[in-house]
Amino acid sequence: MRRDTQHALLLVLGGVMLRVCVDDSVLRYVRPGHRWLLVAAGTAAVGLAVVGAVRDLRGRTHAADDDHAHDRSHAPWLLLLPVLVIALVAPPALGADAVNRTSGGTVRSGDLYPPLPGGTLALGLGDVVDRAVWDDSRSVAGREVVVTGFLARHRGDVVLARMRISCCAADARPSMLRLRGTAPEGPLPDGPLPDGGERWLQVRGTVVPGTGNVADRYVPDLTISALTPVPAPSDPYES
Amino acid sequence: MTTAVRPRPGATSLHVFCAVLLAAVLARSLIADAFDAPALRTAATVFVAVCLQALPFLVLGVLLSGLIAGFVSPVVLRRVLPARTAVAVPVAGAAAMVLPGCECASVPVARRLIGQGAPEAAALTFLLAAPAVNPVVLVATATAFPDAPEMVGARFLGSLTTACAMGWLWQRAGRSEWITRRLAPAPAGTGKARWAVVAETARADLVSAGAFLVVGAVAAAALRVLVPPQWLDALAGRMLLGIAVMAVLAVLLSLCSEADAFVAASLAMLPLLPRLVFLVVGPAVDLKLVALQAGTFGRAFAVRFAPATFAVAVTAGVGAGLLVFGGLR
Repeated sequence: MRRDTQHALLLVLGGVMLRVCVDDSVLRYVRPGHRWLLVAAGTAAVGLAVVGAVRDLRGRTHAADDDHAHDRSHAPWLLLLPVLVIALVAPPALGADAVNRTSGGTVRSGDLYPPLPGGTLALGLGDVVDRAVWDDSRSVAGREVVVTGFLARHRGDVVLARMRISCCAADARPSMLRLRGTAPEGPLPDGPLPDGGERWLQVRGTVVPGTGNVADRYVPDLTISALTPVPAPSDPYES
Repeated sequence: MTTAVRPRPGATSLHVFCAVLLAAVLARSLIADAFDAPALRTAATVFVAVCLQALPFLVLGVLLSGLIAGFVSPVVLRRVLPARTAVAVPVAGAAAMVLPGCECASVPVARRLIGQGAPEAAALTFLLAAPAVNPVVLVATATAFPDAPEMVGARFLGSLTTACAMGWLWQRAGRSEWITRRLAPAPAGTGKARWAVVAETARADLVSAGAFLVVGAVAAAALRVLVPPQWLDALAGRMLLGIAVMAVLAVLLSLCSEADAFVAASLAMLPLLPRLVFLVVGPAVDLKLVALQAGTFGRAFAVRFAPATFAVAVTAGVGAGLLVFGGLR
């Protein structure tokens, strides 16, 4: 591959790395903190391409040269694959399909569960599941909570789910609450939206005491009292 | 590099590059429709996620590789490393503790170290140890296993043993000619010329290594969709089968070493030992790494090094587990 083609490849690769960081689409794939690493790395890739091109122009090196005359590898073309997938497909955040592909289970992420205020609790979906499953003082059992997640099916049950990632979407694991009862608004909608997106809901409900154990595969029950369709949050994942 | 004027061929790779981009833009709606199936979209998300997660670490690796090429001459390297290779191996393992990166960063650095004249055994130990025993990974492991803090020590022990054992094994049985893609030591420069070496090295490394990262990301995304989750449920309480499956799964899933502890922790139906094997094998050998190694060191190297590392890592993982956990747990 000619040097100038390599420069062009690095330029578009660095370009898409910077592009996903401009809006929040980077949050579909990695943790928010990773954005700045991507900005730095994208800038470095663009910088390396520019430095190489400038050196070619000044005649220090020759644009039409292969780096290794003996090594006519076509492998570098593969770098176009992530560029094209990001630019043309822009894959969505993991949703109901990914929930179906996991076997469930929940991680004990800490021993410290600070005391909760009275009244209705606004907590992350993962927090509610953690406390329902692992907190020995059963701090959310029987409490009314407001949680946000998307609808999914898991082993025949309708669940409200939220993916949890620690590095990137490849290590995503779902937090799930099994939805019980019916909302005053009518039966639960099912399946993805007409445009293929997830059905994000804000659900007000009560955590059923005694659920969230090995018998129900660590998926606690939530009795619905109200639900509101909401747009997908800018960061679709919890950590 | 040649200064002779070449005849201009009809279509250069740059023309092909532009044609591919143009065709892709024109066929955009067709491509978007093709990705409508939920499984394919999940795979595409995982593919992009692995690429975006690993690229900053790969860029860090190639920049380090460039700096080594520009500033660490073979003479300096020989002075820093112990003369006896058998001693240089654990020194390289210890040095790996300070590079807080994922496995993608360590491949170009290890290759550059070999190019600059470091003993191959020591560079390979560094390659295996750097992603597994650095503080970021150990803290992540401690966070993921609050109920089993001994997991951190067991992981450290298992990974460092794997890295050193592979170094010593290479010293005894490895052959230099297996590494077919060699690098000449970078020309020693001064002042501005050094920085030119840094930029050129980093650029060339990024183009070649990045392509193989893409291969690994495709494989990891495909397997994420193809491995049925029911397989894992069937493993509950089965020690030997669990160890075997988790070792293979570590290779197939190609998780970043900073994240694999959380995935291992979420597989609560399995005993600790298979999950430890998962953590020891993953950073040492997985699809993404094998693709990177085949690209940077050559195929003859990868087909020998990867299976040997796999066997050593499984053994070291089980051994460290038995020792630290005090039995089958």
